[in-house]
Amino acid sequence: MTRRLLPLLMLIALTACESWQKIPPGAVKLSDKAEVVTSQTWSGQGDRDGFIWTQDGPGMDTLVFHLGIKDGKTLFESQDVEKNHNFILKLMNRQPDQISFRFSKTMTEWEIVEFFTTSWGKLMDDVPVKVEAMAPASLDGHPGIRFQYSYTPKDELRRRGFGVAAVVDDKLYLVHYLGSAVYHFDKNKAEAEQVIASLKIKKG
Amino acid sequence: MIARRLGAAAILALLAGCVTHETGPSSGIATASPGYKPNVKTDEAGIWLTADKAEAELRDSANRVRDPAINALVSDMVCTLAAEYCGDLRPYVVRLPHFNATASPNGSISIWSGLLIRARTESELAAVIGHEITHYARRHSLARIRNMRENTDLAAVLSLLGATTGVAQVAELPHLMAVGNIQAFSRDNERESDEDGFNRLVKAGYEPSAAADVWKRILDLRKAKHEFEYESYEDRTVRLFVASHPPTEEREKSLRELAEKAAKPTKPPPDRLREALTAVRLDFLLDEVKLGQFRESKALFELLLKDDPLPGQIYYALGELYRKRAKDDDELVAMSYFHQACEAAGAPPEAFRMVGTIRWRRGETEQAKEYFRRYLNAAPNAGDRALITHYLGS
Repeated sequence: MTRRLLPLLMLIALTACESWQKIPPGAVKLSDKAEVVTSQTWSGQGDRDGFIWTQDGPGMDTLVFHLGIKDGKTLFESQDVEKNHNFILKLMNRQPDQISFRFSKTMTEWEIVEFFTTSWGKLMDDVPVKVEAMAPASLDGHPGIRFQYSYTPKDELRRRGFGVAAVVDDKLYLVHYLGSAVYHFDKNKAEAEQVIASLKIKKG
Repeated sequence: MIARRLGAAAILALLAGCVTHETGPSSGIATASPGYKPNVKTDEAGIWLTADKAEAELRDSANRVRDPAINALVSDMVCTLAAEYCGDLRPYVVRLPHFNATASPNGSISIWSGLLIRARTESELAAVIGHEITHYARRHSLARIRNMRENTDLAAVLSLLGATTGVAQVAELPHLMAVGNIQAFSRDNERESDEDGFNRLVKAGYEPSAAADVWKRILDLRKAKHEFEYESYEDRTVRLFVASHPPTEEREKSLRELAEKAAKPTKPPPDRLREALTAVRLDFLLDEVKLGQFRESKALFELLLKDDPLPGQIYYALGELYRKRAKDDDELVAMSYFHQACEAAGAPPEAFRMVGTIRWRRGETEQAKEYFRRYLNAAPNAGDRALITHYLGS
């Protein structure tokens, strides 16, 4: 049972520091640099790793915003092995045998998608995330990449997802939406597309 | 807290059959006869019901590897190692990138992809499967659960008596002893499976030294992984007390001694493992890379390179390992491996794409395009074709 709940717990853990809030229709300011517009009501949470919105629950459909990942940073702070390593062991120059997958501002579009799928798969307890398609796209007019992916976590409920990413001012902006392949992905996809298309990124 | 741990251990033992196995003089439970099914009125039937449910999930799992070649091989190996249980055992190959295999009391055996890329020969894989078959044949799951029940019952009574002293630690002590006893029993079962599995290995005509070799490899990889890691004396002592398996060093030594006494096979043992893995190995290698355990994976890949007929896959995996770590000169090293992969037997199309990607990033556009073309030639239906075509048109 714990195994099955793990992906859900992982998703909730993304934003565990903040309580869920109602996101009413209209313009939503996500940060000093980013805002979106939604025509529907969502439930949302946010913390230093980004924002997570859902219509039917985080295990069913999820819209995730990673806004302004800096050069050299991991997608999730919890995946920064060196940063989270015991400081005494750090002083002794003893490191665990674990790579931190980090964003680089020089990454190509393909590498950005690969960075995302590796980090997401790691978050989902080492589940392989399959990229099904990739194509050039833009995010708020910034050249980037659109991708589709799928994976089946330990709860055996296959998820489908898509995302759009771009590097703006040397920082990564990546928004992706996922849902259960059997129902929720299609159910809320159009609204997720609309929210992503509305994203405004303030430069500088 | 201890009681909770015991409860957790009980659940784990039920669900993860590897730690179970049984028969033999220590358990006093008879070896399963071919076609054996437990009486529905027994506790064993309940254990089988749980195992049946777990197997149904495994059968439909997205992580189950359905490739015909590797499934045919492991099925054949199970019947070679245990002809008497051929109709009772059902092996499943599972895409889980760690070294492991498990046997459930109802006859289902799961073989993890991490084991398949760590075993270098069919004989080595046979040694592990033979070990798991013994868990089934000796009904170790049942023995372990009964042993656990006896120990926890006794601990409960002793704890109650201890509580009358008014000293909390005295009341806790029996539970601690129960944990030690339960795990010691499990270790004995594992030793029994090692020995009986070895006998099956030899009888089936496989290489006797393979059982010790596979553990030697795991030990070497573990050492590579922990080369710079801190491990306190206390950690090791506690692990020894609560470990469900004997120390790997001990297992290797015992199996080596058995191999020295055993007769060598009269004809070369079959070795179909690499061929059977052809269609799925690259995925398994890349799953290993994504674990992010740089030192262990590097040691494994370098070992595999020594005599691999498809080194292109290994070079590519090594390149990916360095590229993902991305420290200092890692990209240069990665690039070197990607180039070697492109020219080696078994070169995956992805190696061409990686050379193209890195060159593209460096602004070496024409060279990048050359490799992108090679990539699309090798993988015309790739999911990222639109992106690569976009690069080629730039």
